[in-house]
Amino acid sequence: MHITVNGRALEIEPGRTLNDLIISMNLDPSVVVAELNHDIVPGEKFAATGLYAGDQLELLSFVGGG
Amino acid sequence: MEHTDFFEIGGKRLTSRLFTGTGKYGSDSLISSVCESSGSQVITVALRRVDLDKSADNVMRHIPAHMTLLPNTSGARTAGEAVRIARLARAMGCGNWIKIEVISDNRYLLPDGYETVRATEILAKEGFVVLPYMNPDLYVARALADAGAAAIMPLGAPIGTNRGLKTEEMIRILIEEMDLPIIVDAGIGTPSQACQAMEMGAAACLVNTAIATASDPVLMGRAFGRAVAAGREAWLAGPGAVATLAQASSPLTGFLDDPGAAS
Repeated sequence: MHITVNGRALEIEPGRTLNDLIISMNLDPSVVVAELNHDIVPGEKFAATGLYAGDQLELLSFVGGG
Repeated sequence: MEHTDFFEIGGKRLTSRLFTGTGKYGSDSLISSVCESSGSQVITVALRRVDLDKSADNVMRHIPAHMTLLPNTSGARTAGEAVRIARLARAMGCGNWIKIEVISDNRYLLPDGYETVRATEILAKEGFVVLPYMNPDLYVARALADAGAAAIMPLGAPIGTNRGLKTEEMIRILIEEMDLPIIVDAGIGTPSQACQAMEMGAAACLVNTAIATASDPVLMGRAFGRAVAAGREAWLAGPGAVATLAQASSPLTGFLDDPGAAS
């Protein structure tokens, strides 16, 4: 199924959670913040959050800035 | 002196009056050493989309645990975007401080006062400790105070220019008129300029570019830490009066061969 991550179309298997996706991207869930269909998902809910076709996901992290 | 002179923002007691940033470092691995050499206790970060094509080093790895994190809303062009970024930053679980930056002018990166006040009002009500980046304008400063800002951060010169306190007179007025801490942010290029801001009575300075782009950022961090502390002590000490004509520092009587001297 298709979802959109950071503006890019991505094909993923159905039944995967947000936590599964983040780990499959080699990201550390503790340093990522997620916005799913414009709602913020707290880190403790990554594992309980299922992904569905058409989802719009934003994954962000802190970077250097002034 | 260092331990009795402190200031408070958002319920946190700060003894260092130098805030630092994490942008523009040649290597992020310098950040922890700069935190140590500068004595800074507050450090800024930005929030961006994760790059899906490469696993980047995470800046958080280099920020010592004792630092207070001050995420900024850079990239926001409206109050609504700043609020969205602030909420995401808080969801990261690193505290509730936020530096509001609302900028739509790409040439000079000047802050939009109206949108900044709106964002400050919304976020202060949501319990954020709000530090807005602003043009040193007294009316905007008062509106930010009314909106619930914890401190205000007027610019000395445009971001990243290292040009110093071009807005000196306007900042002086804010220091005189506002009860909130004034933290001079942006444009400070050398320790002497930071020292000058502190001698004027600023509560603190935020310095990123001038430290990060120095040939030796760790040494420059230490220089800024010392300059800010020196300027603060000068402000507390109360400088002497300025005069146009010379005022002798030594007695003007009792010279050798003085005809008026007692025999």
